[in-house]
Amino acid sequence: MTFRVNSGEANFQRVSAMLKDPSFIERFVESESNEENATAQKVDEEVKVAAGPVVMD
Amino acid sequence: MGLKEAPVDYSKLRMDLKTFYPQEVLFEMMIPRELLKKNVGLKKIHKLVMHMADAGLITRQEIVSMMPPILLDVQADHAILDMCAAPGSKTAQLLELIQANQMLDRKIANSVQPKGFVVANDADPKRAFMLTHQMNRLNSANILITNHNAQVFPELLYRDCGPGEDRRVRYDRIVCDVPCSSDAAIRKIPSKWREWGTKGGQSLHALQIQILQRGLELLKVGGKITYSTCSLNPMENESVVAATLKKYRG
Repeated sequence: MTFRVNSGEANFQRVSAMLKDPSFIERFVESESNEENATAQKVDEEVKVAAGPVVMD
Repeated sequence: MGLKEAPVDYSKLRMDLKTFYPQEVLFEMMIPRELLKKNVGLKKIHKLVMHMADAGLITRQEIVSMMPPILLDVQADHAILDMCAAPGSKTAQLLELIQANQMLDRKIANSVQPKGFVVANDADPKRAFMLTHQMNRLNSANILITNHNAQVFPELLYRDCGPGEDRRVRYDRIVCDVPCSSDAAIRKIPSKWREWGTKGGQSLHALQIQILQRGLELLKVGGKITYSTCSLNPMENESVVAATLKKYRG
């Protein structure tokens, strides 16, 4: 798949530099996974708080 | 194991920069399209590409389709006509070149908008509408979308003109990417092998000549025009150019 960075945009050189980085894809996938894990953990904690303390009968 | 679950080594994936294109903006992602769409691990990359395209940061386009605008040497103050513009990837490229050259040209860098503009035309109302949608992404005021048969494309007039000046719009650059049998798409769509016949190209030959000739009538003296198709048939390419050169004794 080929694509062109829009050279009419003011910051197109920054986008181009980001894509030129050979480790861009690997780092992007890694950061997305970390974000997903952090979100899942946060949701888990919020659910626990919303459910209230565990009461032992 | 299918495409969906195939393991991917991300460290080996690259965006390959194509250096022949000006300003280092052309990239090829070395991942087959089907794999990109279906593979679970590559979903995030696919999403990123889609978001960037929707935001107008990138435009997905085949390299071969980028050739006509590159050859035209577009400048920021050019009046440009794209005669058969939909779906609009070349139109987007022309607009980008106007905008990019405006930023590079110190003489006019202080003006808010570049003086140049693109008139993007398509004969099919549905395709013209799709073109409007595509151009919205780029958020540019330098475009006019029209819906006319390209072979009888009307005279446009400038509203403000000096006394004695010609009001008729004549174009510095014209992209003439005419309707064709699309038989070069055989490499992507194998079913076209079965549908191919000699009539496809022959039936469009006359229309293609008419469109190219209308383009020449609307071109400024000293302007540049490209003629292109996505067909390999000489009846739709060399023969059209030869007939036109013969008529105008070029």
